[in-house]
Amino acid sequence: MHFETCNLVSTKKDKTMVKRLLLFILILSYILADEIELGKKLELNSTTKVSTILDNPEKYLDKPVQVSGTVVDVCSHRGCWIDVSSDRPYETITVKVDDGVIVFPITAKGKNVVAEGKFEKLSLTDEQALRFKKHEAEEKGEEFDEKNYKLTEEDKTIYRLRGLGAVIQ
Amino acid sequence: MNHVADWNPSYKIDNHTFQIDVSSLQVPPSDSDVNKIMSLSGISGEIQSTFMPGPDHIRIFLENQTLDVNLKTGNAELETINKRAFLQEFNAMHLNHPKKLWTWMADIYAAVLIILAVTGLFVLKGKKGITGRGAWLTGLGILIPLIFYFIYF
Repeated sequence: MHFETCNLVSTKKDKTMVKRLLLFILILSYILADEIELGKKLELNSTTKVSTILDNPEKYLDKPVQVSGTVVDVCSHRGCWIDVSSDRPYETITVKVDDGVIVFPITAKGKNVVAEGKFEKLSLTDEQALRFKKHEAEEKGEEFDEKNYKLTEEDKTIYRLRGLGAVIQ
Repeated sequence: MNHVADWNPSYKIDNHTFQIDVSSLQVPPSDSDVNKIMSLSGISGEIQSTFMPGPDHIRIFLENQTLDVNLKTGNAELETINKRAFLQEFNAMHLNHPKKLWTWMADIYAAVLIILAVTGLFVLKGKKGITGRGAWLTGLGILIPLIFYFIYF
C-alpha cells in the first residue's frame, strides 16, 4: 500500500514535470522559430531601393538607410557581411557589420532580409584595393591572381552599408 | 568563436562541383528552366529564391543548399550547409540570436554567475580561504586578464 502511494505521487510529479517541460519547449520553439533579429532594432519606417541608392550614392553618404532584398552571399567565416540583391538585375549591395557585433548566420542565404545602417564610401589606394580584393576572394573561397589583376576605378571606390540592425525573414 | 578566421564554428560547409548539360536552357532561364537545372543536377527540394549575379550565371537557393550554375559552360557548384552538433546551438544562444525572452534569461543567468563567483570567495575558511591561499588565487585571476589587457590595448 505504501509503495502504491509512492507510485501515485511519483506519477503526479512526473505529469507536472512533463507539463512544465512541454511549456518550456513551447516557449523555446516560439523564441527560435520566429524571424531572426540581429543588432539594433530597425528604426526607419520605409526602405529605399538599392538601385536608387547606387544611382546616386553621394546623396545618401553618411545617412541612415534601410534596404530590403534576398541575401545572396554571406561571409562564411565571421558572418561579418552579407550581399543583398537589388531590385535591378545582377546588382547587389554589401551590408558590412563590425566583427562580433552582429554575426549573420550562413543559413541566411536565399532568405529575405531588411537591413538598416549608415551608407558609407571607402576610397582605397591601389595597395589597399588589391589587399581588399584578395581578402574578399579568400572569404568567398575563390582564387585570386594578385600579380596579374588589373585594378579599376570601381575597385578603389566602395559603397556599402555599415549595418546596425537587420531582420532575416 | 576564437578561431572564426580559420573556420565557421557553427556550420560545416561542403562544396561539390560537377557539370551539367546547359544546351537546352534559355538565358535568362525561365521557371521551367530552373526546374530543369534542378533535375539535371539531381537535386530535389523546395526552391526558396533565385538570383542572377551576372547574365550567364544563376544561383538557386534551397534550405541550407545553394546551387551556382554557369549557364554558358555548365559548370555547377553545390554548397551544402550542415549544423555542427551542439556548437551551433551554443553559439546561437551565446550570440543572443533568439533575442526576446532569451535576453532576459541570459541576463538573469549572468547575474546568478556573478553571485556564485562572489559568494564562492567566502565558502572556504582558514588558510585555504580568502584570507590565505584564496587571496593569491583570486589575485592571479584578476592579474592575468589585466596583463593581457595592457599588452593589447
